[in-house]
Amino acid sequence: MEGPAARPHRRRIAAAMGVGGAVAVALALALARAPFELEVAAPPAADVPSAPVAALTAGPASRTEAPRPEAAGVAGAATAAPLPPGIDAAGWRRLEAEMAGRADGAAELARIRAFLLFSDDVRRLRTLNAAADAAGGRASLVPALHDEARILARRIVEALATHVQQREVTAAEAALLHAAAASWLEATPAALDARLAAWSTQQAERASDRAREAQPARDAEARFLAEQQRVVTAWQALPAATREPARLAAELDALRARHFGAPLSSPSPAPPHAPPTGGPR
Amino acid sequence: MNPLNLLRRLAPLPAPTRAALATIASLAAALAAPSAIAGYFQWETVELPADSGAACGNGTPYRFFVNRAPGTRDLVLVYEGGGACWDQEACLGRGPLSAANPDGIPPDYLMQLNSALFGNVTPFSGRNSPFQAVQTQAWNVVFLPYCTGDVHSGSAVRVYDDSDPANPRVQYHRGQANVRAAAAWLRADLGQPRKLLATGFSAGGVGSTTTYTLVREALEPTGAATLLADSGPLMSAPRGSAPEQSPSIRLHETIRPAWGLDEPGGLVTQFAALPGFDAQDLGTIGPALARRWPEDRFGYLVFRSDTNFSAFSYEKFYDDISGAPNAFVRRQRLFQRWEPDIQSWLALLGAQPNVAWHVAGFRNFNDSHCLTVIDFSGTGIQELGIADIGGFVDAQLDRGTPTRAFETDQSDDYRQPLSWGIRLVKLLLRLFD
Repeated sequence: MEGPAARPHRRRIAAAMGVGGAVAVALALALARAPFELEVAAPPAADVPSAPVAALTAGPASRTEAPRPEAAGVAGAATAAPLPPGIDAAGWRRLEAEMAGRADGAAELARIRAFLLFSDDVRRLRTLNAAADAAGGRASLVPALHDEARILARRIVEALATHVQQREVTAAEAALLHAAAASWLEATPAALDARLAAWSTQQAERASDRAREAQPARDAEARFLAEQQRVVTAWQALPAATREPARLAAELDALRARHFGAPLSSPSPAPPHAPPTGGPR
Repeated sequence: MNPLNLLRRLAPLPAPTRAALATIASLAAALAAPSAIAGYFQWETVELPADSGAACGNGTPYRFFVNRAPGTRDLVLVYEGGGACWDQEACLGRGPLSAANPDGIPPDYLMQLNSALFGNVTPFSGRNSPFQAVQTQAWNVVFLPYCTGDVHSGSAVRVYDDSDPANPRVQYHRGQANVRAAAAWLRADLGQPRKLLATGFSAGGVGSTTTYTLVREALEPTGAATLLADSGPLMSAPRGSAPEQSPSIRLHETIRPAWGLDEPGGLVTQFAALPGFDAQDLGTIGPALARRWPEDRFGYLVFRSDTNFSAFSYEKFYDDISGAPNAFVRRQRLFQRWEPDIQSWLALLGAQPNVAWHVAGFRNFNDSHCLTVIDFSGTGIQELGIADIGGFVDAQLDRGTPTRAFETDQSDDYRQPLSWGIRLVKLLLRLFD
C-alpha cells in the first residue's frame, strides 16, 4: 500500500541518491568539523553522511569554539573566552545577561560552555559513527579519522562522569555514550566486552549506593503502602453489595493527600559520587 | 466553530471534571511560585501533588522530568512505553505481558540503569545521542515516565485480586490525570511553547495519541504542533464486531471498563463531541484528532512484524496464540490478526490529509517493536528508496509533504545491516541483564 503522497518523497530520495560521493564526503567532513549553530544551542539536526569514506581526510579533533566578535561577560567570567559551539553570539550574549544577576552566574556559564563543548564532541563522534556505518564498517575509514574518533572518544569518556553528576546526562544515555566511545578505544571485541562488563559492574555498585541514599523516601512510601493495604483489605471485607469503588477511590485519595500533599519541584538528587567511566584498557 | 468549544457549551462538565479543573488551577498557581529549578541542560524532577489526582499505579507520587534549553520555546514531550495491565499479575509487573514500573517512579529514575535502562533512550528523549541526531535535541525536553499500566489513558482506581486474593493490588489507572497535571505544570512553568512535538513509543505511542488534545489545549503552542506516535496503534474495533473482523475487539472490551475509559471524565467522554469520533470504536480517535486539528501533523510508525504490541493485543484473548505449539506458529497467528488490524487502521486514518504513516517490515531488534528507540537504523523501506525514518520525522516537523509509506517486501529487511548503535545496545543489554 502506498498513498499518492508517498511518490514525491520517493522522487526526492531518488534524486538525493544520485548525488556524487565526493559531495557526500565533503558534507560529512563539514558536518564533523564545523561548529554547529542553531537558533540558540544544543545538538543539530541530521548529520548522517553517506559516502565512500576512504576518501575522507581528517584533521585534529580540536575544539570548535569560534572566536568571539566581542566580549560581554558576567563578572568573574572569562570574558575573552571564545564562543562555545552550538550557540550564536546573540544567544550567548542573552545567556550572559541572564546569568549576570545570579550569584552563581559565572559558574553556570562555565558549566553551560562545558556542556556545549561536550555535545559538540558527541556530535562529531556521531558523524564518524554514521560515516563508518555508511561505508560498511570502520575498517573503511582512513587512519586519520580513526585518530580523530579516538581523541573524541577519550574526551567523552573523561567528561562523562561530570555531566552525569550534574544531571545533564541520564544513566541510560551515559551507558550509550560510554559504549559508543569505548568502541573506538578498544582494539578487539573481547576487550570492548571486558571494558563494558567492568563498567556495568561499577554502575551496579553505584546503584547500591544510591539505593541507600534514597532509603528515607522509600521508607515514607512504604508507610503509605502499608496503610493503603489496610484500607483495601477493610474494603474487601465488606459485603460485595456494599463495596463502592468510588468511595474507596476517595478514601485512597485522602490517604494519598495526607502522605504526599506537598508538591515538589527540584533537581534530581545528584549521584553520591561520580560514576566510573574508565575500565580496563 | 471549535468543536471543543461547542462541547463545553452543550454539555455541562461532570463534577469530577470541574473538580479536576479547579485542582489544576490551584496546582498551576502553586507551582508557578519560584522553586529550586535546575539550570539549562539539566534534568529537573517534578513531583505532582496528590490533590492533582496524579499517581503512579501503586499510589505513590507521579514524577516527570524536564530539561530546558536556553533561548527556545520549542517543546518535545516524550511519553515512555512499557506494556499494560488489566489483571493482578500484570499490574505487579510479573510476566512477559505486564506493565512497567509497578513500584512507581523514584526521583532519580533517569539516573538509574535498572528500570530506566534503554527504554527511555530515543533520540527525542535526550540531547546527546551518540547514534542519531534529531532537531528536537535543541528544544526543551520533557520525559513523561509510564507507571499506570493504562497506556497513559486511564481514569480509574481498581482493585485486582484475581491471582492472590489475600494480597490485592490497588492499581491507579491515572494516566490521564498524570498528563493533565504535567501539562498544567508545564504551561505554568515554561509558558506557551512555540513548536510542540508529542511523541512516544509503544504504550507511549498510544498515550501521546489519546492525550494529544488534552496537551494541545493546555499548552496552546503558537507554532507547529505535531504528533509522532511510534508503535502504539489504536486499532479500529467497533463494538459488536466479530473477532474475525476486528481482532482487537477483545482487548478494547477489556480495557474500556478496566481503565474507566467510558466513565465520566474518561477518555471516551472527552472525545465524545469530536467530529469523526465514534464512541463505539476507539480506533476513530486518530482520524478525529486529525479533523480537530487540521493544521497539525499526525505521524504514525509501526512494524508489520511487531511481535510485542501484537502480543499485548491478542495473546491473552486468543487461546490459539497462547497455546501455540511453537514460536513460529505463534508469530503466524499473531500476524494473522495484526495484518488486517493494520489495514483497517490505515483505511480509517487515510481519509485525513494531515496524517502520515511509515509502516516498515522488520528490524532485528526488540521484536521489531518501536522504530524510534536507540536510532533509526533498520527502519528503511528499501523498495521505496527510503533509508530510514529520518526524512519522515523531518517532514512531519517541517511541514513537508505528508508521506504514506508501506513496505510490502519484507525479505530485504532480513539482510539490512544494523547500526553500531543497535549492536552496542544488544551487547549492553546482555551485560546488564
